[in-house]
Amino acid sequence: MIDIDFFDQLDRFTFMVRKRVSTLYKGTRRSVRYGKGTELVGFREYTRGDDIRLIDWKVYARTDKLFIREFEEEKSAITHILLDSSRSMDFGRPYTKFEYGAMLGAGIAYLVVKNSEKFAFSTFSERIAINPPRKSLSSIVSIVDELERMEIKGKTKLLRAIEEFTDVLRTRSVVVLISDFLVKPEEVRRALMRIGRHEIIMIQVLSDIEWELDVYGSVEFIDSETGDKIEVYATPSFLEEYKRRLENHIEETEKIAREVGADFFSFRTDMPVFESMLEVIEKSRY
Amino acid sequence: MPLGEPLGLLALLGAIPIIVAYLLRPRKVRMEVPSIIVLFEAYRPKRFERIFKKLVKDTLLPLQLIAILLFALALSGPYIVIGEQVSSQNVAIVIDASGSMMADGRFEEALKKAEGYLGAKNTIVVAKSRPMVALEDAPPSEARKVLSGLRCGASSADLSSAILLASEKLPRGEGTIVLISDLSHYRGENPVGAISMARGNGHTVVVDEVVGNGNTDNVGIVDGWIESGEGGYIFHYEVKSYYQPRNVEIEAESGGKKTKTTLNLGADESEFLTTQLSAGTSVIRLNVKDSLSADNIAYIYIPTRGTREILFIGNSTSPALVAMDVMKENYVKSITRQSSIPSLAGYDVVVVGDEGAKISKELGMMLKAYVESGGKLVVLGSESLMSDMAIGELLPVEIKGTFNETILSVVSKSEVVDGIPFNGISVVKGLETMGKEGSITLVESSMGYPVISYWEFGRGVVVYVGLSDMGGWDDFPSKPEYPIFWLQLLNWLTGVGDAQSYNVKAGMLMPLGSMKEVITPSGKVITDLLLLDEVGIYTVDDKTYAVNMFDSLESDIGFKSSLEPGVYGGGATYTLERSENRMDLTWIALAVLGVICVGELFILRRRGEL
Repeated sequence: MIDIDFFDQLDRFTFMVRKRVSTLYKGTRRSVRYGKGTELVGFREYTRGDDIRLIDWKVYARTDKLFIREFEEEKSAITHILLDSSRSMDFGRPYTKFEYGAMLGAGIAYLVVKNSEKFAFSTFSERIAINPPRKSLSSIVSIVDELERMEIKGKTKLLRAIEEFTDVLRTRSVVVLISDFLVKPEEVRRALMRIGRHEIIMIQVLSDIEWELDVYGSVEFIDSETGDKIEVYATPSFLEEYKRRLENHIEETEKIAREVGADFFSFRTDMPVFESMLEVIEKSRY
Repeated sequence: MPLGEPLGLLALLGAIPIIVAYLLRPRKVRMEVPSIIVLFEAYRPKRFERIFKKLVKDTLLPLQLIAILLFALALSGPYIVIGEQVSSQNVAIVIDASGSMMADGRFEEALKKAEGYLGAKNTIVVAKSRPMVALEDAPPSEARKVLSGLRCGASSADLSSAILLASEKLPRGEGTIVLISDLSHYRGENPVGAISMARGNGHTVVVDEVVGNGNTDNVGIVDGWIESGEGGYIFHYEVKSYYQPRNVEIEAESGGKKTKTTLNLGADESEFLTTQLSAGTSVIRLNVKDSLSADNIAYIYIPTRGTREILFIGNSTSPALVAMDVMKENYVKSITRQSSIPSLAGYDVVVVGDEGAKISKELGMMLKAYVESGGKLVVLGSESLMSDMAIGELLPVEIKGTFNETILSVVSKSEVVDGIPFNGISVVKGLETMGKEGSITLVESSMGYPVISYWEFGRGVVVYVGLSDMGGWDDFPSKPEYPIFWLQLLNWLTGVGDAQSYNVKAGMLMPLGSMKEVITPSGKVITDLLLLDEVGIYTVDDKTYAVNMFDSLESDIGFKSSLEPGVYGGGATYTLERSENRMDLTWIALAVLGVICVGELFILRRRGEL
């Protein structure tokens, strides 16, 4: 899936990207918390309980009143990358959706680390496996290693995974959600509403199989996750209708994304991964 | 369904390549996909389609097979027969409906044969103890309906009269009479004579024999009579086994009690038995399985007796009064017309005798009211009746005058006159009468004047006995049968008579006087002339009759008469030309085929393959 060559390409890609944008997030995210820090942003009158070390004595000398200094705290947001590892992601050529998503996720993590920021790479299917935030390139390699060995299984329980995720999420973060989003749109909406206060980037990955159903005649389709079956007589008109429905599904997912203020991208596994990554970087608000 | 060109069905072979192609078609592809959620949205079958798909995996195959079938059918020229044209002449079918025809499937065979003889115009004569025309000059379709409703009687058939009746119904010089019979015992004249007469009328006569399954074994109750005595009534009956020895179990039920007996009979052997009878209906049953069941059962009815209340209005020296008074079951009150007439209600019978004077208007009105409300009135002959306005309306006869000397004869069979030698009564004078419409004459004079007649008036009955009460017109009162006549008349009027008169042999014809509802062993009929030909119990006017076969000749179902089957007159064989009116169904088959083809095109288009 991801080899040394990929990381070499990623390096070159990062350099190229840096030329176009200053950072993935256009500068460090500014925390709105006030407290100790390096940058003075203002004064306010002393009230009982304030830290007396913050009293500005020069101001007191001039005004005979006690004022304390206020500083802006610089805090970098953590980029949480959530990769769908359910059974439906194990389809696609030349890469499976999972591999493709993993590359996208690894690429984003790499850029975050290069920007001296933290990332956390988690996978989900029916439950979410949350990893702690990291800051080193070596951690990306170990994560890639883990992803290589991971068994792609289980059903997509997006809402449940997000609910578990929000239980541990304390601060406002960037959430990159990578999945095929082949679930009911209502579930996507409810999941996004749970993390609506965060900055969300939704990356949909679909395989060629989903787009190009190369069948004709009597076919029994079997859902890879649920085992449900549907028997159809596949004719050109049926395939056209299916494509139309798929496009509708994607449009609806995108619409839901916009409603919560998320960025939405949809890629096919046969698209060059770096092109996809570039599109994400260029078109996301960050 | 009949086919005009059966070879057209060879087109069904076209189904073989279709079936082969279906069997060789690529099997259903199974494909695992990430999710079927979008597929499900693309193809969401309606409930009917889901159910239909479970039943028919591929809609096109059955449609194509049906199309091949319809095509082959269309080529075969299917049709239905909507009518029949028979080019033959008129046919009169005489069906033997006697007791022996009930055996062994013979009657069913006869009905089936009869259908084969139906011509363009058909008459059906049912040969029973009296022949009856069941249908006249009707098309085959009507004849079939009538045939299907016929049934046998438990008496012998007068075949000769039936053939003659059939001959009367056919046009002279043409037509065919078909007699279908088991050629067993018959009553009346030898049918050969009637056949000759029919031939003389220009008809061909066909005699067709029915044999059933060829079984002739039978055991039955072939005779029975009632004897009354001090201890009550005893029934004597004869049981006979034909052609085979038998052990017969006999079950007798009377007055709620049952008895069983076993009888050993040799071939063609009979034995006489007796059984005590109680009032009401008794049944004797032979528990056997044989070819004729109608003679395996005998019904006996003994009426219950009570005291009769009789009012005699007349001369106290009337011989009629004497005859009635001697009967212990009668309580007779005698008054004259001058007496204060009591209320007539409560009297079973009122008898008006000769007092040499007309009846008063008041008495006439009382008698009318009495009869109208269901009373029974007997009016004896007298000259005063000639101009009696008060009672004239009630009488069943119009009185015109008197006649001198006559010989009486019984003209209708009735338990009233049964056994009375009226022809032996010396009559020197009588009343010239004419029967009114609806009246029944039992005895008439040689000039045809009703002497004893009756009719229904309102809800009651009025009997005119035109023999003299006091006038000395005849010597009937001096005859020993005189009191018997009164006993029989009163029994008949009050529903109680000699026990034997309530037990009759099948085949008896009973005039009822007017249309009445009769409960028969098989249901209800409304008739004024009742043929008692079913074994069982009949009820009419609260009177009950038991009818039995009791015919040793008819029970001998293996007997063959001298009448031979064959064609009498015409050629040696009889053929009937018939043709069918057909409705061609080819166009219907093609129309349905067209619809199927359109359906296939629709399915292909829906699939997007067209």
